[in-house]
Amino acid sequence: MTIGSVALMLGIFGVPMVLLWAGHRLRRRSARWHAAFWGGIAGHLVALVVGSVAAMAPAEQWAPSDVWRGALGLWSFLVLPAMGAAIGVVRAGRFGRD
Amino acid sequence: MTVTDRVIVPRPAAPRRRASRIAFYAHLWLGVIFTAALLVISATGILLNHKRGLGLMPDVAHEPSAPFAGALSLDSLTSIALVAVGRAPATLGDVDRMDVRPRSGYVKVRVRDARSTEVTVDLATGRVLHVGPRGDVYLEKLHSGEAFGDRWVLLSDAAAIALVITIVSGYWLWLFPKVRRARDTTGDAERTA
Repeated sequence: MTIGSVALMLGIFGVPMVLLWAGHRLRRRSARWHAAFWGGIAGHLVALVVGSVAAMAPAEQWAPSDVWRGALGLWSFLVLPAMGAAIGVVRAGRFGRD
Repeated sequence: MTVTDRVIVPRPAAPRRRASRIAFYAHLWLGVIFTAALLVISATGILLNHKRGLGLMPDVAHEPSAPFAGALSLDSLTSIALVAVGRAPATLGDVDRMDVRPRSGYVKVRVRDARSTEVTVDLATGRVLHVGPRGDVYLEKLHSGEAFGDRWVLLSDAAAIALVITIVSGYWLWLFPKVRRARDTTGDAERTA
């Protein structure tokens, strides 16, 4: 199993698990937590679209030289939710909430 | 209203409550965790259903140019196909499979490359009728999970099982409260009578 495959597995299974855990009793959490959660959800939704399209188009086997396809199809599921959560935390901090 | 007048709403038995709780969490967790896998499986399934219309699989209309008995040898047809895709001299390792269609009078030679290039060759004359990629081959592998390796088929199995559990738990969550309410109403009516 390559590092890209591990990233894909973590992205498509690990990230939703973390988001489910983070969304449990969300109303009791801080504003910063809220922002990170919704940022993560937004990132995950964008990754679902971007990653799925990268996996299917063009309809041919990936080559090791397909850098962009590998980045979008394998890593986006892990990186985009993390980016979304980070942006959420930064925005929550900037607007003085919590 | 005194304490003794209080109306006691009957609650479902503990095992049923536990079953509903399990159904709820199974529905939620499996639905969310398998979203990406089911999304890709659904999208590739739709694309495969319309592979001809979407141009993922070439549809070569052709009539036999000679009786099947006069067809060229498989070796000659393979060589012609591989020359057409610039893979000469021919080696058997370059060919994934050959699909002979006697009623249409051609053979489809699929080359082992990333695009699954397919060459359609006239059986009798050896004329190359079409050269193009077979997008559906890759999409089939992505649909089954095989695109990432042989063992990844288990991922699509897991997604299918998750889908079935999500459906069953969804029905349980939808219908169980209705059945319970109807049973409670019937019980109340019988007690009142």
